[in-house]
Amino acid sequence: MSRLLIFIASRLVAFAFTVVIGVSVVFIIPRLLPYNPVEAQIGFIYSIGQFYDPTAIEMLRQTLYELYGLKGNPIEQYFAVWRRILTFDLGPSIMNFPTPVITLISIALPWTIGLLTFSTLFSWTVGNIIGTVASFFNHKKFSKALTGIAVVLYPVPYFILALVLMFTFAYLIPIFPLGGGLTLVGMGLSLELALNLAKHAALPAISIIIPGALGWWFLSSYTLTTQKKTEDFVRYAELKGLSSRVVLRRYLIRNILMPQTTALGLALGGIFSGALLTEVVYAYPGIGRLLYAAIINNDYNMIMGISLLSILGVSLATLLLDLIYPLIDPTVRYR
Amino acid sequence: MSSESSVLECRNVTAHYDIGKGIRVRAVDDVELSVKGREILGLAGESGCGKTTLMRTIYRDVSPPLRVVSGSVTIRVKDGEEIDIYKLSDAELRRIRAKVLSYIPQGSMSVMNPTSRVKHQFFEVFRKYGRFKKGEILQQVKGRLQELGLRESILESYPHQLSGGMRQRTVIALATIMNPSVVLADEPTSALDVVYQRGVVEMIQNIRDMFGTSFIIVSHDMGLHNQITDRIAIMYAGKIIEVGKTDGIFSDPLHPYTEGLINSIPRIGGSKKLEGLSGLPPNLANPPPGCRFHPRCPYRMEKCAIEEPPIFRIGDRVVSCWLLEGK
Amino acid sequence: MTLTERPGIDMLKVVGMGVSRFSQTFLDVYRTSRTFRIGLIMFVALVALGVGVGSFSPFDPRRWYLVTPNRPPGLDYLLGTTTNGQDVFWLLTWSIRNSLIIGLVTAMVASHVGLLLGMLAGARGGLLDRVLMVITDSFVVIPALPTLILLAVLLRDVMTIPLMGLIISIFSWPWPSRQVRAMVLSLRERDFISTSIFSGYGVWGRVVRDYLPFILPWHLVNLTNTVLFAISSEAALAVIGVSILSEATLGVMIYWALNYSALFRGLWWWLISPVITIILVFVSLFLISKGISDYSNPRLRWQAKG
Repeated sequence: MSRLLIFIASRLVAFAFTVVIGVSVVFIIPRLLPYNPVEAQIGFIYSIGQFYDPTAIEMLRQTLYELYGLKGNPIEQYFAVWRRILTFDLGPSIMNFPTPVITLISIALPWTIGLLTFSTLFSWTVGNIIGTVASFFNHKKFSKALTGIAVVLYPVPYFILALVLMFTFAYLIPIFPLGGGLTLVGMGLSLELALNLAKHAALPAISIIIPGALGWWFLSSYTLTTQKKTEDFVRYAELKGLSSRVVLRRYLIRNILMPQTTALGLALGGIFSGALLTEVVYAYPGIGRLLYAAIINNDYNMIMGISLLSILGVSLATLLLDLIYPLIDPTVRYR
Repeated sequence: MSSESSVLECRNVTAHYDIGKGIRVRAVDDVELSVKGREILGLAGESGCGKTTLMRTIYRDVSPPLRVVSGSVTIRVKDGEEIDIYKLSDAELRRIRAKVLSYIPQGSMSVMNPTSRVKHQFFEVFRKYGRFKKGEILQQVKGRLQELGLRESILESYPHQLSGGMRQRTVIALATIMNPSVVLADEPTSALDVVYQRGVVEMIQNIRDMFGTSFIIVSHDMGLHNQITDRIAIMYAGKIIEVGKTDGIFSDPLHPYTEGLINSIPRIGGSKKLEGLSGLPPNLANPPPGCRFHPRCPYRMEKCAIEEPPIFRIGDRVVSCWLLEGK
Repeated sequence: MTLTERPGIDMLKVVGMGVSRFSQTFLDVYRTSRTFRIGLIMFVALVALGVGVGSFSPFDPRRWYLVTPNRPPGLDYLLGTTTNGQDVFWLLTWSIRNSLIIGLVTAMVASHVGLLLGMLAGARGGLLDRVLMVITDSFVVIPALPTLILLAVLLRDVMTIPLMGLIISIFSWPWPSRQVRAMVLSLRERDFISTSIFSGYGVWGRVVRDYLPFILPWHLVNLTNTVLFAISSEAALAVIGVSILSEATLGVMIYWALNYSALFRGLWWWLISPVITIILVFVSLFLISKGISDYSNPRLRWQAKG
């Protein structure tokens, strides 16, 4: 029992360390920007000529510095950031002042989570099934064809594929809309709304699913299966005269499921930074596009908020996997 | 079959590895071998002499680059029917594996599915032969384990939770659960400590005694053969060069190679200096002419380098050596 | 060599050994792997196009309005012209060259930093190992693309092609470093390594003598993959407009084509040329790395033959 506690404690410490270092790096980088958002805002106020009272301006300036987390020297700022993080107050967005960062994130997050959870799970399932089957029957024609497709899809970044899809389906054969989350339709009809939503999410989803299922997950499960196939216990299963179905299901799929589940966990943990490029290319209103806008507009608070979210997502996924792994994989025990 | 009492018979079996560029490794060359019912037959020889290839050939585990050139392997099923292994369809072959002929491969430490409990690995074998009731089978398996002196608790374990010796015994129990006529065991004790070797040896003997199973035990360890086998076949460079009762082989080896093998066994309290074999086994892609052992043979004659010795039968002994000509 | 003598490393000898091992591996892979051959031929053709043919370009890729704009592909302009009055074919050759430079810089910097840190952490162990690993893990956790965008925006005024390669390196070393460390750790378990620890080899002596030969094939795979990662990262930055828009890279070409809505104005050749080229670059590099990694895994190699 105490060994289990030590194991959990050590994982928690490692988790804390990675989060602290991650947040620190994300803290430092925007502060290297040669741009002062507060002075820019003050300048903007001057330019439209509303305020002229210097004391009021000075007060406003101080308030803004505090809101943006830019008050005091870098060390004070650093601790202020942590205070904010720990009180779940990420401050107002600079580009959409004064809407809080949290509000904007919570509007964009469902779009991203909906799109990415669905497409990740879908491509994981499909990719693993066809990858394992194709590797098992690796002398069949369909297997060779699928590997050929995967070799093209795997290395090509998904945004390039998004462009190809956009060219094909929005230009050559115009089935899908060119972008956006939803075209305004008469309110009320929920079916129509849902269809509309699906139609807009379809291309972004397809451009994630196709390279995911037929490229990444296909090839990783294909490679894993090919390795497993040469292992003694699989060879012996065939020698015992077990049917291909049993070998495939109980020996191959079962044994590649462990590493593939880990990979799925990490992929799901990575959802929170959004599919930045796909969202930008398709003008999809998710976290990725929000982050892109924040970077372009020097919105410190927003960058910090989304980065924090994605750092937490990835390191939490790692932590959970570390803790759960020994439960699902009988050959691994808590160390 | 020539002899009514044999359950497995290899006739003129020749198998090659085609390793490209026209190079052929004659790993099994014109082998004649038979196993009687309730017999433990040993197959001995240095590593690389073709023992494992012969086992694979008997089991019809043949895939490129291995190719069976000629010969037949017949096996007699419990009801007396004879099967030529090389005439079966794939489906028929699958069916006789486990039920008639079983194979325990070399390095059987890693042959169990790491993510499946031992009991499921037993169930799989039964499931091969159609529907079954889990409860009944579990009872049957438990009974068998008890007979073999294995703990019931291993059924709920994963393979990695078992010790080396226990895992090896579990593999043997798995391979013999359907009461096959013949079990081929390739180096069943080589990866084990001496303590565990004893357990495995006893288990194999028990299975033979209780269920009448025949075994072919492949090992380079003459000590193991001395302990467990009824008869021994000595293999050298792809050929069987001597076959005989274990006692006879050990007390009076006829082939010079057999003599060399036996002299290389260390004996407790033995004061005699070990006389191992000098030299290395020949390259099977290009074996020497005449008797394949002649370059290493201390008794070689002119004839040995020219003509291959025929098979001489001396009592129940079969030897292939010119020294025995006319005896 | 006696056990008491503490062997130093003769750098020349090590480099010589490395080169001969490298070329031997290269020839072996070339001979046995069709995948590798196809990839290499594609890649050499692309390099020839970018570096060889590209150097005869009659146009400066950074200048606009040198040719008639919006011409379709034909005899005058092989791949047509852009709205900015650039010749797509010659622009493409320059883009290939610049994208390859970015990839090469990243591969040289990041994979070697990763290799060194990973081997050091693995071979030394102890506190150094733990510190390096926490840092590495944190870099794995930090979202790479957003941070790259941030840096690209930050350094916009001073950005050059090689600097872009350096920036991308920041996120390309942690993963190889982890992998190398894991490999060294598993190699350490083997007997021959303990022998050389006892015979008094220092850390670097062990690394060069014992670990490097095993890690080298993997390192070649990683070099290729890093080139791939770098080119794709730059393209990603370019597509959202934060790369060096005045230079010609494959990503920047795509950016301008998108920016001028090339597709909807019927100028498909402007967008499709760089997209197809970039796909060819990725596929060729991937085939090369797949060829090497299949080769270095003997179990798979055997199967591929049989």
